[in-house]
Amino acid sequence: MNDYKKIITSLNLKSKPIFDIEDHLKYTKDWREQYIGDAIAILKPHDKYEVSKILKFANDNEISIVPQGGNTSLCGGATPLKNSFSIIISTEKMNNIIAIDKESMTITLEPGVILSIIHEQVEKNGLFFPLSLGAKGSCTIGGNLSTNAGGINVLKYGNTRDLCLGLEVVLPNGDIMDLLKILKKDNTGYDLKNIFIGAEGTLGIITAATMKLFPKSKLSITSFVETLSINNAIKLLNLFEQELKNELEAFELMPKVFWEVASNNTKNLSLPFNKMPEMGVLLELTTTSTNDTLVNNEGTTFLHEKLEHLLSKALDEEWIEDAIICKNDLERNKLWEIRENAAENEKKELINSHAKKCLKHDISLPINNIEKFHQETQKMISTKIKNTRTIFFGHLGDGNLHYNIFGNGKGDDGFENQSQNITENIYKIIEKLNGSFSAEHGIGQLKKDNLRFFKDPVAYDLMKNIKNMIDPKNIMNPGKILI
Amino acid sequence: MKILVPVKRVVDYNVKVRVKKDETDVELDNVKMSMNPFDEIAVEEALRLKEKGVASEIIAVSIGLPEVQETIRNALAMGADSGIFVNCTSKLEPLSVAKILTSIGNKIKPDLVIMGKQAIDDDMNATGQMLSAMLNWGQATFASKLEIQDKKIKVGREIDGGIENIEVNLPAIVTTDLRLNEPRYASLPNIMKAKRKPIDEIKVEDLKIDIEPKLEILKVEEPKSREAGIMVKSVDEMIEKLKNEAKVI
Ligand SMILES: Cc1cc2nc3c(=O)[nH]c(=O)nc-3n(C[C@H](O)[C@H](O)[C@H](O)COP(=O)(O)OP(=O)(O)OC[C@H]3O[C@@H](n4cnc5c(N)ncnc54)[C@H](O)[C@@H]3O)c2cc1C
Repeated sequence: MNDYKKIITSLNLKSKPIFDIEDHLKYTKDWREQYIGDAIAILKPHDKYEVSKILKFANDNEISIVPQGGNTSLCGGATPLKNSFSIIISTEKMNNIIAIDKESMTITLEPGVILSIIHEQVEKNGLFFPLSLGAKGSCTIGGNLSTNAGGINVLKYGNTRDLCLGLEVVLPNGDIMDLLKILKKDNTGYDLKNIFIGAEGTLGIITAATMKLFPKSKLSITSFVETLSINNAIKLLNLFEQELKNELEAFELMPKVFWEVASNNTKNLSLPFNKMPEMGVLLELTTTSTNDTLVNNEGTTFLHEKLEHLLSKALDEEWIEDAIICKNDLERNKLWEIRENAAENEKKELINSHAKKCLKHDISLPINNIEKFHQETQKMISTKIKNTRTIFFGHLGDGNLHYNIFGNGKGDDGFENQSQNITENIYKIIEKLNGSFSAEHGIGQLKKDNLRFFKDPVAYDLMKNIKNMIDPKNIMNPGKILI
Repeated sequence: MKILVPVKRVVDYNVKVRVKKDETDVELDNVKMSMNPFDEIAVEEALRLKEKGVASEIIAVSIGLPEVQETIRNALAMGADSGIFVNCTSKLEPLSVAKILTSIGNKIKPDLVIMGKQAIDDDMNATGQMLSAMLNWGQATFASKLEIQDKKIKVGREIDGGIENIEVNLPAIVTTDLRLNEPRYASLPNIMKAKRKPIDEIKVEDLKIDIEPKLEILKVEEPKSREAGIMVKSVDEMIEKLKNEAKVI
């Protein structure tokens, strides 16, 4: 052990290695506090050459490497295994924006840049980077790429993969692979960059990326709508997709249970209506066209008018009960804050309600099967255990729901014993309805058994072969994704 | 009881305001505009008085280019009954606005004017006070609590270190502070109803008042940007820096 300390120290990295276990907890515990792992050192390389040096050393000595960005993984993806001989590579010192190119509308940056810093810097240049999620103040672009993160703007702009034009990756043997191109078209053999996106650090370390940027919108309008059922919310979604496909940027489901959790854990929560909405939808339209921003004789912008028109139609058809349209960004930000605090509030709810455990599921389904899934699942759960609460919400526009089940919190309610059983049954229902048990948060260590069970066996084997070929000594984030 | 609520269209609070290249003003092209937040609080307070049965009619007034009708519509969508749009293309300052509002006040004779204590674009905090002087009505500025009894209005004013309670005879001018209330959202049915509510247009020339600017803006510039903070390793180092670098102790 001490020998390793000496060798690691002799790598002569710009930032001193952290050996002291007392200082490790920030890096060895996951965001949801489900896992605590062990590491022999935390290293903070400053550039790709230092990363390369560390990986070569680790590969030669068969030491596990756990890449870590903002450590906001919800599946224990950036947490080393217990009792493992691992080095955590934190990318926090690789946080430079290398270039923002206004002409080609791209940004090239190091992996440790925090998402909200990207937003800030891009905005300063009059452009827009659409990837956005609740963890934006902590998560990094390297982590976003490695989990192919989704978030609230997937509907219009796609997920992280769709936003990536080029990557630079250090392979486990220390080789640096340069795939940093800003080309929209580049048919030169296999698309290797896409293997590293969503690989959760199991194949190499992303040391730089080029991402697409977009024009800043000239106007955005946010609305909150109450419907009575998931199916009615879907009818509203279909209406917007037919009439305002290019403008619809977000369509988030926020049902009554979601508001209850928000109100239990927020001081002075402001409700859009006088009561908790039954099946709420937060939707946002944006436009880059000047025409949409012009004001008609009645003092209404064209985009606003279109929105009013569609909502009125939905009201006439009785798909929706009520709606508000935000008059200013203060109202908009309040609503989005409630949406983005979802994971935080659930964490608090779990503590306050004394429920021992919360079963989290991040699922996607063909949109028309969502209501059916919800009904079947609730029926299934009620046959297993009484008085659970299902807190669900999410990116309805993408068919992606976060579907989290809380025990009733009264001591030994049998929930813990049943939990694995419930999750397995939920995944079976999803399988039957042609959905996916892992939509955007990835596999990490939490869902690797499920992946083995549900992934097409031929595809699973191919994944294992790819992993063996790129990382024959299995040093890169072992015990994640694959068994 | 009739309440008049002046509403101003300003750069949305969330916009990071930038100075124009020629330093004559701030950039307004392609910038999100909204109702001045203090004015929204004023509209909300008027609506609450109406819902309590104290007020019977709420009129929202805005002065400026045709776009300000959007701001009036917002007040109507919240629940105001009608609007007055004073069409005016010249640059406005508090004195001119107070003069225009005086002229309107004399015409429609409200029992109460509720308005923002200041607009977040220029932060002048002057129009309400000037209007009170011109109409020769009482004023209660920075209201964080408001109650009407007979012909009197009781107002809790935000002052340094606490609340000052005063009583003013009606008609009066009240200017709103942040804590008075939280404005409501505008619901779709109310937005649609607002479209049928009348907005009277008045041309500023027809009021025959002098609105020639008395203030001249010489230059608009960005405030000096603050230097980034530094992390010190120990209390001693902090004391050392406070003494020798910042020279504050
Ligand atoms: C409050 C909250 C809200 C969230 N909302 C969403 C959401 O809406 N949509 C969504 O998709 N996800 C969401 N997530 C989870 C999401 O996956 C992460 O927030 C984010 O993408 C991970 O970034 P990170 O920098 O924290 O990565 P980490 O958690 O540090 O790492 C994630 C994975 O990437 C690997 N990794 C990190 N950096 C590199 C690198 N440079 N090279 C190779 N591998 C690397 C790690 O080993 C790990 O496997 C949320 C999480 C939280 C806490």
